[in-house]
Amino acid sequence: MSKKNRQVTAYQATAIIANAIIGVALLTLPRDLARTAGTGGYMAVVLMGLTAYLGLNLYTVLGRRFSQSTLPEYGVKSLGVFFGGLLALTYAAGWLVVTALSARVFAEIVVTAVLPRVPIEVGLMVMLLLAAHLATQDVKTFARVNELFLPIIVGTFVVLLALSFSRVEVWRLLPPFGPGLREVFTGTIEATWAYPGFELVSLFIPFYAEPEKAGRAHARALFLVIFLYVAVVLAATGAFGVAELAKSQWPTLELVRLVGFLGTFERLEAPFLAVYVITVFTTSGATFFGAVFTLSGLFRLKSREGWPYLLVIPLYYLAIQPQNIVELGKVIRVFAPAWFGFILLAPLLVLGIAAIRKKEDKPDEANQTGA
Amino acid sequence: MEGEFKKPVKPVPPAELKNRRQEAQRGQEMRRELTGNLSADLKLLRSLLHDSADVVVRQVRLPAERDIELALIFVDGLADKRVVDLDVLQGLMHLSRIQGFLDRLSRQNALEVIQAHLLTVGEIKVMAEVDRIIHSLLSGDTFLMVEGAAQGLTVNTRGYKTRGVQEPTIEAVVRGPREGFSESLRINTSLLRRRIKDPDLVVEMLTVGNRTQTDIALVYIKDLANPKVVKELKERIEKLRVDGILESGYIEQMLQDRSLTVFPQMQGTERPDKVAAGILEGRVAVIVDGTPFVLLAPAVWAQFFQSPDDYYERAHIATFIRFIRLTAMASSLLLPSTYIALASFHPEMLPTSLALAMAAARTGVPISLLLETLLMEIAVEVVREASVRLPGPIGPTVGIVGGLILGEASVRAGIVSPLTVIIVAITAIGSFATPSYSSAIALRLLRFPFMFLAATFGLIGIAAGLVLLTIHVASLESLGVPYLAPYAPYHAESQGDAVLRRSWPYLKERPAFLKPQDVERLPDDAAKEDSSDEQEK
Repeated sequence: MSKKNRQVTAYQATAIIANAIIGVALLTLPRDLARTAGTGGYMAVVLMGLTAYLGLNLYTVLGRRFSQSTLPEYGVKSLGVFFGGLLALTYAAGWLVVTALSARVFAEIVVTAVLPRVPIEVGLMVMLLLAAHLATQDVKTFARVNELFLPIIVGTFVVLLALSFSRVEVWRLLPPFGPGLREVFTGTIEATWAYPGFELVSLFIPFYAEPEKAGRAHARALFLVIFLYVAVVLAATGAFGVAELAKSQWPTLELVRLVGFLGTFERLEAPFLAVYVITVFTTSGATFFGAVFTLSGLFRLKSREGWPYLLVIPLYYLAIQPQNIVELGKVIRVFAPAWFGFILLAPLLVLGIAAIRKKEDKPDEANQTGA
Repeated sequence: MEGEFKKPVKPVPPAELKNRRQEAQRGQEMRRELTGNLSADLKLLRSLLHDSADVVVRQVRLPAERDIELALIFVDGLADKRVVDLDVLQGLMHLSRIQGFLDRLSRQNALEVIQAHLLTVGEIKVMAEVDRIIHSLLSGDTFLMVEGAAQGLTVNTRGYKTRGVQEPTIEAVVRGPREGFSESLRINTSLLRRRIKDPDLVVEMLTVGNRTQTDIALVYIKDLANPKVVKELKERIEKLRVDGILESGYIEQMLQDRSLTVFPQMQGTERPDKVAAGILEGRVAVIVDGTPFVLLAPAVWAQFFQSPDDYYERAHIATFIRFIRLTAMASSLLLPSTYIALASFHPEMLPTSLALAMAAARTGVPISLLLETLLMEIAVEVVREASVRLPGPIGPTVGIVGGLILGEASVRAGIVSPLTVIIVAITAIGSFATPSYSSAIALRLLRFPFMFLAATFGLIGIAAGLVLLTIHVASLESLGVPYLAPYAPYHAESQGDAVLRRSWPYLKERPAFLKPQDVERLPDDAAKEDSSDEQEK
């Protein structure tokens, strides 16, 4: 077990989680929910958010129990080398898939909306390379980058919501509880694509400068995300209505099209998508970072420089597999619920077995000596 | 004769070089000392200095019971001749007779008597090691030898010409002291001492450079500066193995944590008030003899848009000006690329009238927008560089010829569009508004890659570039302090002096990210008095 520099602050922890969760799904979420849950979409978001919060707490509990280990390390400790290694590999593989899918969705949006002359492959490659570059950095740089980007991302969406407020008609939000409970539950399956990302905390908890504040920092991040999602869903539903929303391709981008700014800038898609680069980057970069970090821990690699860029090649081939955007949507609809289920159940399993086998880290001595 | 020069100079064979170095090392280890034989010692010193023309040797004879042979040796131009004449020679040759010291003098006590009674100079040291003697001679001291003594006196007669204290030229302020550092290390340390009369202000001397033997001073407050930073800095300086240090830029580049970056990781300044403020915050100043540019370490990015007069003006004004500077810096980095992106990829963002005006202005321009902007940006850089190199009186002419005539003419000729000229001009002005020259030039350099990104991917490319830049800057550290502190990692308590500048009574704490030994700037009781004052009002 390696000694860890405890220098990730509570605010950085919040930023890492919130940034990792908010990603490509934000642009399609209102449509998918409108299709399945109608006006009750926001309830599906809240429901799924609370489920994600439960999952997040599982990781927090695990992080407390193994106060000096990251996920691959405590996986091996409680499940043994083979099963622990397998678990870590599954996580790494899942993160890589999320990276590829996010980058692909991003490329589709950017190319269709603002850069029609640029091939999708180029947009894809740019995003993957950016993510790979982040993956070669160390934990403190990763934390600082997230901390700088969080206010930019949240600020942009808050401004967007404020500007689109005047377009919201209350009658479009009716009935307030949607068509029925069953529809809302179907909607939750759509929302599974919006919440993964919180499981990445399992890699960072041992680096926290103030581990005792972890619970509050995590809760803050998740409730920020839920709030943002609910606001976006409500704004889009209120501005377009369920029927129109269900047919739109990128509903959040449509919302941007509605608003102008100060009478000077007529269309804001381009700057919005520029910020969206950052939003997607903080997700795909984080999952890429998580995968690289897990793999290097698993195979005891000393350096994380150079070789992550090689991963870009298989990821690129993975990402261009879906022939078109419809197929891409189908892939996501299959992958997202499975992945969400996995990241909820895996920590439960690890926690259970660790409790039975009485495995845990001794109280944190490294912190006292100021390592 | 010409044939002589055409012959290549035979390089010293590596084995020979190695031998020489080993010998030199052995010589240092042996620490040659004076023998006491005056003529032999003189010969040794002279031969070590290779009989250079500027080494002056003056032999004196004191007519005591038995004549005592003395010799003075100093380097012409480095030693102050008035001091040598009036305080050393006059003492030896005149005072000795008047006060009757000649009777007391003998070969055995000559050195003590001379030191105690005859030399009217402030600083005298007894020395025997030849290396130290040579070093002090080359620093301007005069060395006094007595026949029969295996020691001699080093008399401080340093008095070479210096420029003196003048107004700083690069960093001008509206309000604030007009003094700037000069090339002499002593004058520079005195400028700091005069500002901080704290007995805990430490001036530590180091010598770097095998050949130049440059004096370097570390200045910090002992019970304030982070001892780890001081130790680290000292170790790094002591580890340096170089031929020569001619400017503090050498030190800055050799000590930095990362070399693959355009951002300065130490702050160079010629303003004593800036350095004093830095020392009071717990930073360490590195003064290099021979240059007016003093380094402050550790440095953070936030310092590079701060200027000393921010602290002399009222807080609101200072904050406003900092916002202006940030805008200027952002425009010097991003304005040309944003222009390219908007014009070539996202014209729909602009109001229709503006987009049409832009298109109309560009009709007839034969080259692509990227090339046009690039050409103009390079032209501005050339004008800037030319005006720096030209002698003072001619300098402004370049501005007029380059800026006004060329700009106007190229627009008239239809080679560039007027909007491009406006953009380029705003960019140039923005980069001149950055207080720190070294960070302004870093941003100026970075705007070129951004222009290429904008020409390929529009605003998306700029965003990707900003992401890369953020990762890079976030990974920088200066002596253990994150470069982006106090923003990342965020220090809530240090925000009073970052972009905002709070009023002095509220700036109670030093920047915590520097990890000074004492964070409190204003002691508690002073703060209490403040608040009671307010209550009375």
